[in-house]
Amino acid sequence: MIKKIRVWDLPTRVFHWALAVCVIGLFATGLTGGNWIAWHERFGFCVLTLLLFRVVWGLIGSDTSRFTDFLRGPRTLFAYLKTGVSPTQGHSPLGGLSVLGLLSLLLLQVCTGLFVDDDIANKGPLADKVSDVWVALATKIHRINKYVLGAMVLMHLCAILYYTFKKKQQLVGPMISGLRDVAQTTPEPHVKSGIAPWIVLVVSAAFVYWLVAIFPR
Amino acid sequence: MKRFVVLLAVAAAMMSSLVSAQMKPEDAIKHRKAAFNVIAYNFGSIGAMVNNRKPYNKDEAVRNAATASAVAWQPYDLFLPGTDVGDTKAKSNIWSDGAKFKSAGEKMQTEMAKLATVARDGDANALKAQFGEVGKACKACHDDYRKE
Repeated sequence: MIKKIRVWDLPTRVFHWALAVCVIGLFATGLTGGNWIAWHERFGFCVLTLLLFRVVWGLIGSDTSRFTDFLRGPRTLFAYLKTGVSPTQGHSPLGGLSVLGLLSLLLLQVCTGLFVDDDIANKGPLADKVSDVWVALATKIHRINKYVLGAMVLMHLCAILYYTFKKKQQLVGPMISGLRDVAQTTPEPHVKSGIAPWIVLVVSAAFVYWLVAIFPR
Repeated sequence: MKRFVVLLAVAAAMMSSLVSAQMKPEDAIKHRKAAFNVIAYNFGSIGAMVNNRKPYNKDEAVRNAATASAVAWQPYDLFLPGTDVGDTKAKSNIWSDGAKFKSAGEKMQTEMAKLATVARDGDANALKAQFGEVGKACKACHDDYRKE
């Protein structure tokens, strides 16, 4: 018997798809340059907001959104690699690693982005707050890390294709609806909703606004 | 007398080519960076105006664009052989695909000249659009010919 359970809460799904849109926008605007850099900045601020939200939600959110749920030790990871059966209903131990990788690389990219200077006419909002040595370092990391990040995103997409066609496990559908088909006996994760996550999101946005628009003045 | 003048002219031409060939690599690097910095300062000033970081001022924009455009050719005389090492971010492919590098530089000069024209028209929106085109021309070269 198959039943549908809720694996992803609404805030996590909104986070995921908003992040996807922003990352596509960031690559497109960053690689094009010119006046698109203004949008590159805006998308970057959105990503910083989303990441701050996600870190907090990873600590206080639904079972499946928590870091403790999907960041597991090597023993659990190897057991999953061997059996292909995940101990949790959300991210598998391997998928969790990929989440950690993507979030860390994005955080590195967005934080260095605050301090970049492209030597054309664009500076990150905090570039004037630190010495040129740090600006040069941040710019270098920002330029090189985009390739690492691009590779990681590509791997993420390949993994989805692999799970869809090889393992016959749908990942995209549940990330849209939040629902997943599981065996009748599977325990249901505790999924939160309500107003709290949206407050976290608004506070994150307010902090980012302060950081990039008020603090540098 | 005539022969002497010709001889003198030939000697002078040889001297001058000798002088430019003998320019210290450090000096060539220093001067081309200085030229790029003059461009960056003026272009950055227009950037601040069109992105509302400082108020738009037509006279200032005209001066900035005219100066940047006047200097835009300068650095490209100073990518002399042997100046790919030292205190520079210039990549060695500047010298290996010289023709492409030259045309990329000319693209920037053309767009910068247009910026100077547009600045004189006094239309802030047109200035912003052309500012973006120059920025793209700068970026194209930075992406291909500048070390990270």
